[in-house]
Amino acid sequence: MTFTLSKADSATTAVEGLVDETRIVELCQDGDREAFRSIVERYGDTLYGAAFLMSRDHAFAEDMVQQAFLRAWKSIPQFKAGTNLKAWLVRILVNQVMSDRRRKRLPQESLDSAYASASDEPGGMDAVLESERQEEVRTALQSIDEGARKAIVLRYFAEMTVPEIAESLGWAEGTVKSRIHRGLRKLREHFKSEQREMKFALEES
Amino acid sequence: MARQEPMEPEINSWFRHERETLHAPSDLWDSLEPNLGAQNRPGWRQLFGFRWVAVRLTVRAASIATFIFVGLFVMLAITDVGPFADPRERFVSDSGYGMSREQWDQLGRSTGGSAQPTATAAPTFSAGQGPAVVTPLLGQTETDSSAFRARQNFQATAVVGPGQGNVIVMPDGGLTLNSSFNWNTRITRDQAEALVNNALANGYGVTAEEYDLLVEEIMVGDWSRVPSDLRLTYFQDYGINPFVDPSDEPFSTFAMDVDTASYTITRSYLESGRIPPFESVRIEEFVNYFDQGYSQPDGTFGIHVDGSSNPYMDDGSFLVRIGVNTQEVSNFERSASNIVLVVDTSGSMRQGNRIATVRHGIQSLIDQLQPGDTIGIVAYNNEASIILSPTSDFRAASHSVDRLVPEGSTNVQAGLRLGFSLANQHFGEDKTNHVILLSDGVANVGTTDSNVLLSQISEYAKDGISLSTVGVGMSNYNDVLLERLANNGDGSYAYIDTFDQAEKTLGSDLTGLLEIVALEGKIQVEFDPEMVDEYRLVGYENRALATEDFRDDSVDAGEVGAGHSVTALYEVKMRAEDIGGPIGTIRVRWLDPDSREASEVAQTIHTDDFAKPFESASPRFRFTSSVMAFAEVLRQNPRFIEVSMLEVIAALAGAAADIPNNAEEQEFLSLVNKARELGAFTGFN
Repeated sequence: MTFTLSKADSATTAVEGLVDETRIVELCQDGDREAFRSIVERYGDTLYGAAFLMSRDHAFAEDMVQQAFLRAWKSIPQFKAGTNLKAWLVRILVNQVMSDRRRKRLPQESLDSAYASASDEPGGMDAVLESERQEEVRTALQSIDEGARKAIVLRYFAEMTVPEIAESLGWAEGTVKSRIHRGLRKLREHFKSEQREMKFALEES
Repeated sequence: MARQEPMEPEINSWFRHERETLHAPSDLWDSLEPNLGAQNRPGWRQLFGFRWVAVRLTVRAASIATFIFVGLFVMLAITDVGPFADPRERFVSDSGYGMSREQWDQLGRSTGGSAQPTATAAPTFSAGQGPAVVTPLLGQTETDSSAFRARQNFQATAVVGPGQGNVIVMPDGGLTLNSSFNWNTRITRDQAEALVNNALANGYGVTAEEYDLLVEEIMVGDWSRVPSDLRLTYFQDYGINPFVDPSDEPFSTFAMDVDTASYTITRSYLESGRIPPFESVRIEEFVNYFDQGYSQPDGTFGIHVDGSSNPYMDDGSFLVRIGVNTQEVSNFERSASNIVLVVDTSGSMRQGNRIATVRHGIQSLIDQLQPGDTIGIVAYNNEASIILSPTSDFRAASHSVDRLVPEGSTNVQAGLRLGFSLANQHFGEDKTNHVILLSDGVANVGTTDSNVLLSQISEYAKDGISLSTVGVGMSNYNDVLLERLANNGDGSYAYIDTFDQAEKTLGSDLTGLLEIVALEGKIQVEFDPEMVDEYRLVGYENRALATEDFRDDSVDAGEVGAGHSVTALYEVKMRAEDIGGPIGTIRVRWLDPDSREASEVAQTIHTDDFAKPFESASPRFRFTSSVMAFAEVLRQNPRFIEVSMLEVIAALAGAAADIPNNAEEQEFLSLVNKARELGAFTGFN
């Protein structure tokens, strides 16, 4: 049996998704590579995006996502049915990033490479403004400390709940909340100090 | 989220956009598939799930244990370390840890000063350069003692901002962060990570979460970032005074210090089975904890000199004890007092018996109050509130103590502000106006600029309201802050580790705390270069003053209460074999607490005072020399590397037995034994 989930599938209701996912995980635990492929396709973008937003380095993010999925495949037999697959995958990813950085003593980010790869991104003429804005916010995101950055990326990009983030990062929920709070505050400060005219003016409301 | 952040809509819209544009490489699966390999089958563990949990818990526990084993010390800003003209003059603190035993030895024998172990000079990185390679210095040198080696697992040096700092990973039994606490210096996350990465490269394994915490720990200065349940203990390494040739500098000048906190902190560490961090050891506070048996003086200050040959060194040096003391005043004779207690009731005070110890201390204090005194109590956590308006109704005061319930965070500024304003409202011209802060010393809310706080406290002190600080608890203790507060507040600093100590500090010793008989007390010892080859002041590193400061009455020094004694030990090497006559002069200068007029008394040091065998010296002197040796070993003075603790104990046993009412001396003896059992001296024997 093969599973190929299209993008539309991820928009199915939460319950369906859960049932779906439980079956997929079971198949993976039995060594079904096609089932695992559906997991990779479902969560690849999320993991990759999160890794990129945290590191701002496309090559690094790519590498991390590969490593994370390889590790996930290896350890999925130990995955406890009924627990949160996304949180589990993100946890593996974050650990991967940490241990890799430790091993290689990689600097947190290399702005040069980030700018270089940012310019590689596809984008038409009308995407100029859009990508400028993107650049602004990505830069702002790099300006906040890593804990808050992780929390913000997982909360708003990966659309995880606070308990999910807490599970993934092994932090207390209070810590997650306070870091999100701090991150938002720092972002706001950043934009204020930059005094840039943003498409979405960031004002105190 | 309980409350939507103002930015949430924008953030959501932007991240939605990111979700639409950020995609994993299209060949992700294709590149993954060939590498998938075999899965980890759970096998029997699936059948015995609980065993798997047990294995995981064991692994987790092992990793946490490793983590706990890793104590982190950050020392910042060498420019802020103290009164040394040239930072390199400090012969241990900046560079002494990364040495082999041979190097330690050499350094110790070279009598300090110029000894700068350039061979182990640390690679540095500079602010603005971002992270750079920080090479571990330790674990690379061979030593013949495992404890010695273990203690020195890691050190990295980083230039941060305007100063220099050390990160030292030490197995002191807890996660301990040490900082010189320049609140204006920030370590960037990059720098912190570089340091942690370096520690990890040395073989420590931590989880992602622990990694994060370690990084956050290092980024001191931003209190809001440090999880409150994390162990943070702040001590500062003030270095070790070197030997000085009196032809270079005949004057040794320092502020009086009657604090005893360092000794009770060490006691608390050892009683709980841990070796104290070496920076927590301030020898003068060890020595001054014990009664030196000086006779009552006729004037404000009495000066006492004695000594003997140095029992711990075979270099012909002498140990000279110089003491000054003030007249005792009974609790009935002291001036009426306007006391305001500022009590930390933050959540961290719930730990252990902190709040109970504080309550007990306050009850002991209330028991000592006399008609004419008033007492008020302010409690603070997130905010400050009045628990007891200043009153002479001591029964009501006693009842109010039960209302000190810990919760929330620590806003020491708010507490002190309210405390001082209460004391100010009830200010009595003819009274002692005194604020006493009781805290575990964690300032995590409010202004982070300690300089503002400290200067406000100095202002109050000038206006006649002094501040003393009483520390309690250990896991997130801030020694540096509490000592500085008391210094600026013209008060003293104590640490209470037990109910007994709380009773002593706030009860029986209350008169000494309240009845200040001398302000800005200073001691200057002048050594005759004709007679003295070299001298070394033992301790008082963070009390050192410039020679010219002695007669500058605007320089902040130490306040001395009634019945206090201040003792300084000197190691002295004489020039000639056939010695005799005077070798120097002791001068004591202070301001009258009421008139602020300066007085000075002096006394000559004669060779006869100290040129005698150790065995014939007084029991108290012999005991004090043991206290010194104990502290020197604990603070890892390389000069004392050869000193066997057995010698110390042997000397002690004889001296302590000759001292009447020697409960404290006996307790000290048991502490030395504990320290020996814990292996505190393994590296030195």
